[in-house]
Amino acid sequence: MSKDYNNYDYLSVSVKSDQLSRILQCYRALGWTEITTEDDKQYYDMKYVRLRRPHKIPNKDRLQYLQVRMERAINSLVEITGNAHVKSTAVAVFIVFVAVCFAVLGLWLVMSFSDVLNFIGWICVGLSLAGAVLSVILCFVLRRRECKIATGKIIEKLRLTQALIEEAIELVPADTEKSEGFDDPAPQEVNGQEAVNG
Amino acid sequence: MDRPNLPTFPTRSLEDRSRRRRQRFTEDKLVKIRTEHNNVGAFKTMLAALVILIQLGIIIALSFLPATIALVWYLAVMFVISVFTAISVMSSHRNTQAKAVWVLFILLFFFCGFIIYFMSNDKYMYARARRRHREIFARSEHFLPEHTAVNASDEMAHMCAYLNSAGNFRSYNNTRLNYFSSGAQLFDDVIESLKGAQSFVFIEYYAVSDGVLISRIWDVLEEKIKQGVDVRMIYDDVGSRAFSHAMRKKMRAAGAQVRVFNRLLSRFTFAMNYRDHRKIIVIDGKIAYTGGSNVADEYINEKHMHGYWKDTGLRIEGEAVDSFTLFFLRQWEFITNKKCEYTPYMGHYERFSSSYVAAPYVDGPEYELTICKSVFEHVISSARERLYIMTPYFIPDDSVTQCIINKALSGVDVRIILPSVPDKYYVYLVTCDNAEKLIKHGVKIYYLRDSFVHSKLAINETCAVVGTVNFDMRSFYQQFEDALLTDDQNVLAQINADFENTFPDCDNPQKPAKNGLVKTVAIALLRLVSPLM
Repeated sequence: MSKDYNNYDYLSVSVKSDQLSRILQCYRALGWTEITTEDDKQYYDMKYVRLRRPHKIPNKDRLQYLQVRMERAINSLVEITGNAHVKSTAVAVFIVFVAVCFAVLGLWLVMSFSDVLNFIGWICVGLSLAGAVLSVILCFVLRRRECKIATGKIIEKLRLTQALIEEAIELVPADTEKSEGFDDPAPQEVNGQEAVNG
Repeated sequence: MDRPNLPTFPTRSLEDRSRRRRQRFTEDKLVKIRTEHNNVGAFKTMLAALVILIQLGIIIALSFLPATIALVWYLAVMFVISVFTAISVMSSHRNTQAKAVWVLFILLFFFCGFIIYFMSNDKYMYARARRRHREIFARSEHFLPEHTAVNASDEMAHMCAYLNSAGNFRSYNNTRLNYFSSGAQLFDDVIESLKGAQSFVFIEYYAVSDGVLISRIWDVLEEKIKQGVDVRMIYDDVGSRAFSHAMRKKMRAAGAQVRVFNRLLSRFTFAMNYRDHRKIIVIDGKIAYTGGSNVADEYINEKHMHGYWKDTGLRIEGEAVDSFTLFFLRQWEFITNKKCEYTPYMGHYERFSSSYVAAPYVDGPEYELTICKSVFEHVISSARERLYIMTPYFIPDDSVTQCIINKALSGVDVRIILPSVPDKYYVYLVTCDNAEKLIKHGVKIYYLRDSFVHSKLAINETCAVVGTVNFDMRSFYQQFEDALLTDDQNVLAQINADFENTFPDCDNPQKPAKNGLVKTVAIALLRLVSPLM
């Protein structure tokens, strides 16, 4: 496919297949029009999309800025969800590790000695059980808190994306070329809490 | 236009996971955009490591020999050489911070430090080149008629006098300037101007990369070469590592003269540290361009390497264009090692009537004085109401830092715009640390959100500098740079408007960020070598 660099800017992006329609709408708001969509050659869960936009589109610098911010905001959603439970997992792993150490030590003392050390062994076993319970409770509490924080961040990023797109819509002239035959599904309610838990 | 549906974030189903095991790679990002990588830093590190390894190899080999006295003597000789080298460093004309770092480095690593010092010392490694530069200067000086700007304010006259004394740079009145607040705007204008080229086009750039931008420019240049236009291009070997051999071959085959500055591999010395960071285009001697933007796609935001790329540029018409022609031809003569004809390319500028002053200048290892740094100091010290700076890196030496602090303390509105996305993380750590230390003195620091700021600007209420000069030691002391100092009120208004438009998109921390232990240690170590960055 020959490209007319004098009149158009071109953009190629690989987009998650399940988010294709929504992300394409964002790009469309920034003045881009999709030319082709095909399976990505490297990633099975992505689509490779070619877009174009008039080279001399008004407010181009601002649109480029908004586009970059939008792309970064969208990609940060994945990072936020991916890192949502890092702290709680680390704390749980640490407590479990300590509990296992206590349990091993306790069992060794219980089985090897019969005096005070035997009693200490039982205390260690008890502590390890308490640690296991504590780790479950702590993990649950921390996860809830992390979910809340992650949800807050996600909502903030979605609001930012919304604001960026709204600004872009104001900047893109109404007569900018649009692609044809592209039906978009109705917008879905975004519930960060559910999604993080999911 | 319809309101778009916002993307939800992806949920990973069990089906997805099993499919992932069976099929090709998966990508964690929702949107993937084109990027490229930097391998030169790794190459330089490898070379330094090689020198150290050789020395270590000798020491280890000697330690295994029966006569341990040989090892003692070897180390003693190394240490004595290091001490003499340290004395030589202290008596040199480097900046004080750099001297301290070098002395520490040489004495600490006495078995290899002095080798690295001598390999990177311009006194030894750049002496021949500097002599040649001086010969070219002497020969080409008279081709540029004497020009001294009139109607300049006292401060501008002072700066112009400095430029004239330091590097024989002319200052002009009858010049028309136009400022571009982005690389895309700049290169759109460049391409339009190239279409009108009739006799020659000179291009000197630090970074030239294959891609959309060079293709657009080449489409026009190819046509122009067919019409008999003399097209010459200088590119830096380090900056232009993504400028393919195929593209260069194509350009040369079509009739363009394409030359590399300071080839990295063929003549291998540590003088490779001296890079041609200039960005100059001259068209027919009538129009010149300079600024931060290079000829690569990221500079016009065709690629997104580090978020949004904020850059700037300047179009120059009128008398001042001759200076840029001279700057280019001198560099061309240096590279080609052939005597250049200057006269046919000078004096083609269009006559404009303007009372504002424009003073183009260059800097580099060929000059003994640190001209770019001094001009920045002039701009900072002459600020009375406001001082705005935009720079990708902020690693100035003590004198510049103190100058900025003094201005802020004396009530001048000092604002510095920096990137929020780093291109080199270790440099960015030091940049942020340096900048945020100024907050307590009243300097306002701005980080442009999701962006890499590559513009190199300094403006006060009376004058501005636009060019290629970063606020770091490399630009002040090592690289070949160019810039233009002006008091043109139209340009000042354009630059001011750019700053005012940029501030709302920035984060403006009110106090320095708290760093963790690891980051604090990393910054402390980086600060040690920051004078060399």
